[in-house]
Amino acid sequence: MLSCILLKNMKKQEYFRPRTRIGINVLILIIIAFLLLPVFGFSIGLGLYVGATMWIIGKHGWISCILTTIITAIAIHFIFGHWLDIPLPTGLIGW
Amino acid sequence: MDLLHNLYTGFSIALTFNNVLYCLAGVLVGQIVGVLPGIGAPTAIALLLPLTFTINPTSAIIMFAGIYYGVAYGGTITSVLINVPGESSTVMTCIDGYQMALRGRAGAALSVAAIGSWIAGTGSIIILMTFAPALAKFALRFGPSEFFALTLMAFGLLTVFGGEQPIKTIITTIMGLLIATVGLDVVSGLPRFNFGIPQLLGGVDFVVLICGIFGVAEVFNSIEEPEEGDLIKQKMRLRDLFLTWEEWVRSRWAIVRGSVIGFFVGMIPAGGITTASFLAYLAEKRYSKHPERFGKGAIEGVAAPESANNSASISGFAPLLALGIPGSPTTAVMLAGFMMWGIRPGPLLFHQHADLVWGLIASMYIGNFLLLLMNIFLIPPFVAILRLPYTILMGFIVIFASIGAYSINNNVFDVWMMLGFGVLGYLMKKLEYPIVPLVLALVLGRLSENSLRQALTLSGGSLSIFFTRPISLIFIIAAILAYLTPLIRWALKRLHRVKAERV
Repeated sequence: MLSCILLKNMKKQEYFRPRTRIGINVLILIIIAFLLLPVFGFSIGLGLYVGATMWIIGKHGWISCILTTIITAIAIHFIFGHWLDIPLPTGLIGW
Repeated sequence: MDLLHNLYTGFSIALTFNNVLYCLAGVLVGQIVGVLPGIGAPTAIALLLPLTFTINPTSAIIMFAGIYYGVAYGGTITSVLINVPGESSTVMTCIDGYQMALRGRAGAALSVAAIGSWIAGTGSIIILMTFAPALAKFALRFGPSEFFALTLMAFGLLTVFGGEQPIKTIITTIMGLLIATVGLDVVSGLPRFNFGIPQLLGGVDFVVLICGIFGVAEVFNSIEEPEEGDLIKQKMRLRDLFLTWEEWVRSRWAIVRGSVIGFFVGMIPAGGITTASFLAYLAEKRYSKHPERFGKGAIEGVAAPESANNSASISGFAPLLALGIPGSPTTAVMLAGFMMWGIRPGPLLFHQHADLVWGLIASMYIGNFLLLLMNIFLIPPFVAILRLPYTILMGFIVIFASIGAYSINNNVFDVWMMLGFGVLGYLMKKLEYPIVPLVLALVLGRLSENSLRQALTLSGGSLSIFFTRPISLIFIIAAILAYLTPLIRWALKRLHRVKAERV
């Protein structure tokens, strides 16, 4: 009911900005990464996600992207999985 | 000398090697989070919550408090040097701080902020120390009906301080209350709003919401509108950090006024550190003898809001510890933490966990002192953090948010829910809906519902219990007044317009 009042008062505003598309791309990347989590497991899946955003959104060189992916995956596996004892779901590889 | 004795106990806890280390870690994280735009204190604490499963609650709360007041210091650096507020609480500092930096007084702006924050912080701890136990003693008389009335008043105050459009605030408050009802009914055990999804039976966890709505949503927001500023490159020598006598004279009362305003605003639900700094700046401008100086590099315009946000971050602990009612998103996350550790903040906390309370209070003195030192001597390394590419930072926020959401119940469903809240938070920000009421309504909603049910059970279903008990009646009246404020404001405006038209 309250939102009806607001809808009536709402001015037509331009909500799409030039960079909104990039935001949507990031959202799509996150969804793909989450969908692939059962395949790769948390550590590798999220590592790949960081690498992918760097490559696609940030336009970094592919060497640094791959390096970040590997380092992130290893860091997540050991910091969260072993040191903090969070039972992260593993993927097909067993990590 | 009960107070001194308690303080002595507190220091003996806070000064153990471990706790000093946690305090240092807290203020360091707070400072870094404060410098980075797009990640705030509630997000940082929510993301760190899963890490505290295994450590001692006292150390954990010392660290979290360090983050909270550290953020208030850290945001200043970016506000002054690049005109980009690292935190919403330092938006007001940009106005005069950046102007001061343009005139070559960046060092003075930063050091008056650090000194003002320190004075405000230490002063507020002293008031908190005497005030919070008294509040807790008073709150011992509260029954369920009082707590219900109190939460009702808190919701009302949200509409008063919630911003320009009270309707939007009410909508988000109701959304929060609806989310709070998801899960098993406490009294009858029936599932509510779970849509047949078994994972929703346990309710929506607060940490999941925070990770999404503050963490992931902020990622989308900052991608869309990147905040870029020009770093002012100034060689800062130690000499530049000292204030001139004239600057000190101009800022000393601003610091005191800012601290007092900050302390009171910080205790009000929905007040929080952002409102505190905002009000302090406006008050300083209105009562200044030279209002024309503001916006052109007035040192009072840096001192007042910086002192206010710091004292507000400390006074916010009073309602959290003494009543168990959080006033801001950050203290709400801390409440979630307390529940996770199995401690219930409230009037009894001062008796049952006196070591925790006094250890925390004593650690605040230490933390504020550490921050004062850090903010005077360690500014360049913190500025260097800003060079971290945003895409990497963004990736890490998503990682922390998903692992944080997962680790609460070890459940992948929560991770998806977190993403959903992220999108919701992004849309809300875009459509200019306030987020704070949603967050507070979710936390207070459960407390409110429980105390309502208990009160009604006590009275045998009669509503008179809320009106016959004096304390609860006062809260109810205050709540009604708060709800009516937007209407009264609107009516006054209308009246003025009619008068103006006649003339």
